Order: sequence, then C-alpha cells, then structure tokens
Amino acid sequence: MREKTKSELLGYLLNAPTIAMLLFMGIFPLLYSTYFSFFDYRIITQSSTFVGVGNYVSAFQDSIFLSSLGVTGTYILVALPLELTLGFTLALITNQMTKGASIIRVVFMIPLMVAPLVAGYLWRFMYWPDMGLIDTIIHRFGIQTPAWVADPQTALPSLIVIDVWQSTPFMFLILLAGLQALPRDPYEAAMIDGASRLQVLRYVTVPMMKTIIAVAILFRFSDLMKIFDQPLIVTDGGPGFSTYTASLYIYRVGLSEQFRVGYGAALSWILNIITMVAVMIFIRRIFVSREKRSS
Amino acid sequence: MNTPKLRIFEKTLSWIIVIFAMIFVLVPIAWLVIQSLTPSGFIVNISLKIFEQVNLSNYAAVLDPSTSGFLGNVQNSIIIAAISTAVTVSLGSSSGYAFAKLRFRGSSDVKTWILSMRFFPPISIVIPLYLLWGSLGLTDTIAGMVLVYTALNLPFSVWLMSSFFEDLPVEIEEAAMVDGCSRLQAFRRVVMPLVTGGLAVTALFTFIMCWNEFIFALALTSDKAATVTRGLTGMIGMYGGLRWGQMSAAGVLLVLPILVAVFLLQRHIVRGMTFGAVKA
Repeated sequence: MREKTKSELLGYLLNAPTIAMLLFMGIFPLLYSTYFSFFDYRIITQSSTFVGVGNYVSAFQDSIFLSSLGVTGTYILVALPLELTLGFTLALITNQMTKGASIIRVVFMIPLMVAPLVAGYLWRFMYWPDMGLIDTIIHRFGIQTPAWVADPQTALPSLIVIDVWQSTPFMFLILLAGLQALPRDPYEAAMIDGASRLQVLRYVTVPMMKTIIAVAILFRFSDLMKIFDQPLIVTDGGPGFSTYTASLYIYRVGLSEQFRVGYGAALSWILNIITMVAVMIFIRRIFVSREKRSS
Repeated sequence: MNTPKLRIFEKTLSWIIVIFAMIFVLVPIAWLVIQSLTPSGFIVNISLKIFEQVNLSNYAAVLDPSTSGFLGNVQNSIIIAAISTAVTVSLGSSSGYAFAKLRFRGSSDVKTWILSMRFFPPISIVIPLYLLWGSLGLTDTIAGMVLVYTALNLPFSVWLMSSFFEDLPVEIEEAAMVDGCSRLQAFRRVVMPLVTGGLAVTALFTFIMCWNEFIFALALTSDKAATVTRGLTGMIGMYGGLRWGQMSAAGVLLVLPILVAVFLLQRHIVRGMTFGAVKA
C-alpha cells in the first residue's frame, strides 16, 4: 500500500514540469485566444470591442476563409492518398529487394529532413518561368508550359507536387518499417493455400499493416491541416486567393496586413475544432486501444 | 506460377520505378546545389560548361557578416535549439519514465492529453502568443523562443522517451533495487545508461525540429533572435529581389548539418517520426 502511494506520488512529481509547461504554453494561450475571439480586436488601431459570436458568424460568410478551408481540404484529399499510394508501392518494392534497399532508404530520408521552408524556395526556383529547371527542360522539346505556380489552374497542383516530394518519403519509411516487421508465417500459409500475389496483398499484408497505416495517416493528416511554410514561400496565397491554405489565411488576417487578431483567433478555433475532432477519433483508435490491449 | 521471365520483368519494372522515384527526389536537391555554386545564380544553359564557372562566391557573400546577417541567424538558431533540446529532453525523459514505469491514476489520460497538444494547428497558438510575448517583453528574445520550442517539442519527447523506457524489462530495475539501490539510484546508475541511445535520438530530432521550425520564428522574431529560417525569408527584402545563388547557398548551408544528423539517425528515423508508435 505504502509502496503504491509512493509510486503514485513520484508519477505526478515527474510529470509536474511537463504538465506545467504545456498548461502555460498550450492551454493558457488557447483559453486566451478563446476569450479575445469574441472581440473585434485589432492591433493597429488598438481597438477592441465585444462582438459576441460575431467573428464566428463572419467566418462562415468569409468566402476567402471558406475557400482556404477548401484548399487545405484539397491538400488532404489529393496529397495524402497520393503519398500513401506512392509510399506503399515503393515500400512493397523495396521490401522485396535483396540489395540496394539501404541506399534507397537513405536517399528517401533526404527530403524529409529538408526544412519545409527550404523545400518551398527550392521548388519556387524549379517552377520559375523560363529559367527554372522544369521550363528549361520542357522548352527544349519545343513544348509550351503553363505558368505553373502563377496560373490559378496549375498553382495548387504544383504546390501539391512539392508536398508529395517532401512527404512521400515519410509514408515510405514508416510503411517499409512496418513491412519488415511482419511475421513470415501468414505468408507461408497463404502460399500453401495457393493465394495469388494480389490476394496476399489484399488479405494478408494490408490487414496486418492496418495500425501502421493509420499512424502514418494520422501524422500526415495533422501536418496537412496546418500546412503553411510551402504555400507562403511559393505562392503567398496567390494568384488571387487560389492557394491560401487555412493556416496561411489566418496568419494573414491575424498577424500581418490587417492584424485583426480577434477575427484570426476565431478562425483558428474553427480550424482547431475540425482538426481535433478528426485527430481524437484517430488517437482513440490507434494509441489508446493498443495500450489497453497490451496492459 | 512465377516463371523466370515474369520474374525478370518484375525486377526490371521495380528498378525502373525506384530509379524514377530517386531521380524525382534528388534532382531538386542537385539543382539547389548547382545554383548555389554558380555566380549568376541561375543556369539558362544546362551543359557541362556550367562546371567551368563554378565557384564559392555565393557562399562567401552569405557568410560575410558585413553584408549578410546569416551567421548571426545561425548563431541564434544554435543557441535556441541547443537550450530547447536540453530542457525538452530532461522534461521528456522524466515524464516518459513515469508513464512507462510507474502506475498512477489517470496516467493514460494525461499521456493522451500530452499527445493531443501536438496536433493543435500552431496558428492557434501563434496568435495568442504573439500578444502575450508582446506584453511580457519576450518578443524577439532567445528566452522567448526557447520557451516556445521546448513546449512545442515536449509531446514528442515524452512519447518517444516513454517508448524507449518501455523497452527495458522491469526486472533490470527490480534487480538493482533488490541489490540495495534506491529507486533514484537505480534510475541514475542502471536505467539511464541503458537509454542513452534513446536520449541521443530524442535530442537529435528535437534539435532538427527547432532548426527547421518556421511559423513561430516568423511571428515572434525579427532581428535579435531571428533564426535561420526567419533569416532566410528576410533575405528577399534585404536584396531587393530574389538572389537565387545566395539564397540557394543559404539553403544548402541550412540543410547540410541536418543531413549529417540524418545519417546518424538512420536506424531510428521511423520510430522518431511516429513518436515511438512504430518501432523499427
């Protein structure tokens, strides 16, 4: 009994600094932003008037904000499945290789570790009209190119390519690690039963990889919900408002140009709620259920 | 079923796909490096001739303290990242140890809460912090950034360290305590030495995340505590237009130390990226 309370106390004690830090740097700012999200608070004019839920109402009438949510949503609906498919394909291939696998792994680690900001610059140079590498090569064949990031039609797809470049390796590395840790027995059983390669993939590999795939999707999902660096550097939301992601637009509204922090806070809460609902469902399924199983 | 011909076809196809993927990954990096080495900064004519005019003038310009603030930014980044890493890893390992080895009420709820903090879009913290830092006088200070980066990386550090502590069998500690060690002694003399690898991985990852972080650096620093990423965005305004060559040189310098770290981290990278959820 005494031993048990002692261990309880130690548990709280060891966690106290972490919890204090996260309360001060996480929860407190979030509460503060909840508070001033009910004010029309502008830094430039130093004015602050209570508007109740006015900011939230305006948010849903703000067509740029809604379209920025759409851009973030497009990222998630296009980039994420693309990265998952490409990463999984490459992982399956690499997993079968007898040699060369380690070189492939190292090469694919590189984009992951490049700061997203630098990736932005890098691709901005790549897409540069006429003088960028992409145009230089394509123009050699006498083929006309669109203005890439400067054309509303191609700007968002071009941005998504950057994310695919940077984050497919994330999917690849995680899924490869998962494949390499799979037990051999189910495969032997499937082989004896005469299953085809596709059947093995569908009924053996994918079910065993479910948790790992979910972990990979969770991390990519939350990263895409906050995507900011690359669109800021490459297009700055343009042309027009076509590539404003939610985070980028909220930043513009709250902390530059207009400095309407109250409105920005309200917008960020809408983004928060969407993110947290989705993420909590994921976390419950992946982390908590697994812990229960193991304990 | 698997005829040799089909096998060869499959192998060839696999290699073609992999080589395409590698080209896609490496060409932009190579382009950055080449640009950084050519004085004009961009190459209109791609041919072997470009290697005749290769020089380091862009690097010299970026590293010259009289014309560019880049070295100052590097210094800031190193100081901020190093202190943040030390604090994050200490707090993270004490929490991580508690979650892995001690039973206390609410343990799994607290751990989930800590993880959930990682998923808040940073923009929702940046806006209130901008105001708070302004009134506390922490804007554009090293201390302010250390606080931010410590909090930002804590969830990661707690979860990753906890996964390393979980790997240790309970018996090790119990044996030490049977031999007369107190819990604290057992922790210091037996447990900690066994997780030095985990500590190194957590520290390296935290350092990289501080080094690459952008949105907080953009909002909360401008000059005195400007980090490398903040400095890089400043270069556009400073040169009154895009200097491709110099920006590429700065980009290469920003990426290079991280690449070294990647080679050191290789075996642990998946574990780190998933907060210890996937042990590879």
